[in-house]
Amino acid sequence: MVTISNSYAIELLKEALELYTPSKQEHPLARLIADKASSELGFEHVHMDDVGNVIARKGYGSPRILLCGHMDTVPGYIPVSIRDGLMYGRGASDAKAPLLALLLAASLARDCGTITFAGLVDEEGNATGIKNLLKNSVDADYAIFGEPSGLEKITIAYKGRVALSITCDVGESAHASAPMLAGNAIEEAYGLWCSIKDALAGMKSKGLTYCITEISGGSSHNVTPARCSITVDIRVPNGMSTGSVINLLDGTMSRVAGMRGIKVEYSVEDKTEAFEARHDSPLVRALVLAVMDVKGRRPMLIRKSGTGDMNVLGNALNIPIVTYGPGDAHSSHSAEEHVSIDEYLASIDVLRRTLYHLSRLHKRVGR
Amino acid sequence: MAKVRCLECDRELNVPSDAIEGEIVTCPDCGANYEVARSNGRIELRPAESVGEDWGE
Repeated sequence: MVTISNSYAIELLKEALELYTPSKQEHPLARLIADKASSELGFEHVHMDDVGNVIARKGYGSPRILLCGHMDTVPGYIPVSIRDGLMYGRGASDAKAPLLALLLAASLARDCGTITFAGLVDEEGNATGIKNLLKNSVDADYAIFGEPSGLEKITIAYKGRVALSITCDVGESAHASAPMLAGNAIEEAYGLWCSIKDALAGMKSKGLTYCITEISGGSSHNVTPARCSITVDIRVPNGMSTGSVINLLDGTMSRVAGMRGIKVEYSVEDKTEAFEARHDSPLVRALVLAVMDVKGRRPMLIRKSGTGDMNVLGNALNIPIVTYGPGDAHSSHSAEEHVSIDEYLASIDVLRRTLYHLSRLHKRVGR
Repeated sequence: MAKVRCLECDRELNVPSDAIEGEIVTCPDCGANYEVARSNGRIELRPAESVGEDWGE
């Protein structure tokens, strides 16, 4: 096993960024991680699963800790460079630096139970990697997702999501010079959207948000539209089920369809429940203590308004999960994507200490 | 003075016996913030909410 120095960690990140790995083309990075994990980083069992995820294990016993992040990036290669302490490159913050910080922290950890590192494919695409990980019955008491949160922020919660594709059909169209002869599906869709907003307005104070994201209707510039489809994106806070939101809107759409004499059909394109890790779980406490060890200040716990893989894994396994890693999520996917090298190095230390605190706290709570 | 233990680092904390409910107590070792609560006359600590929000995924 090699000594993991700062220069080793920086070179590994540079090497990873030089590999262009948009979704479905992660193999070069998977190969690099698998080689390093088995030959230099002290992992005992390393393999690639049938969709291309890299799985590496070390240690034994409890707690069982899953460390996972994604190997793919959004498209668009950015030449790798270092300027003013920042390393630029596609995936620098989303999420190769967080991914490698987890890998190196796991490598440095000693006697911290069983650590499973998973480098996943296709997070920016169809979540093939996380779905396959779940299908293969991953065992874990805790999990950390490597995504950019910044050194002093810990993401403990994501909202749930409901996406509905709704179509209004007025049956007939007419010449645009005689609009009184038929209904207008675009106007009906707009009216329906206003009714949906009215129905959801009472939940805004609980943290529910909603917006219309797509609209498509009409067949010609001089024909009244017979059909119009809209997509509605609703973010559901913790403590509220996606089913209750869908039931409410089902009633609203039926009522509007009856009142207006139109046909309204909808399909549920996404239905993901919210997830929040308990603040007093050993995982959250371990990460808080580790940040305090390194930075001397308490980190802020963050609830994200988005929805991610953490929702899927957390609700499926019913275990504490947090998202943590170096980088600024708001600069992800941009042409100037970068990560602070100091932050990347410090995050390795934070995560190494987290694994130590977690194994200690896990034993104390007697799980 | 009531003695209670920090829920995060286990340090013994001294809470004034006249502390009022909702008062914030901070652990000098780990910085955890607690709200003072009373149950059957006894002083208890509950983790104080210190959670922010952010957009994105």
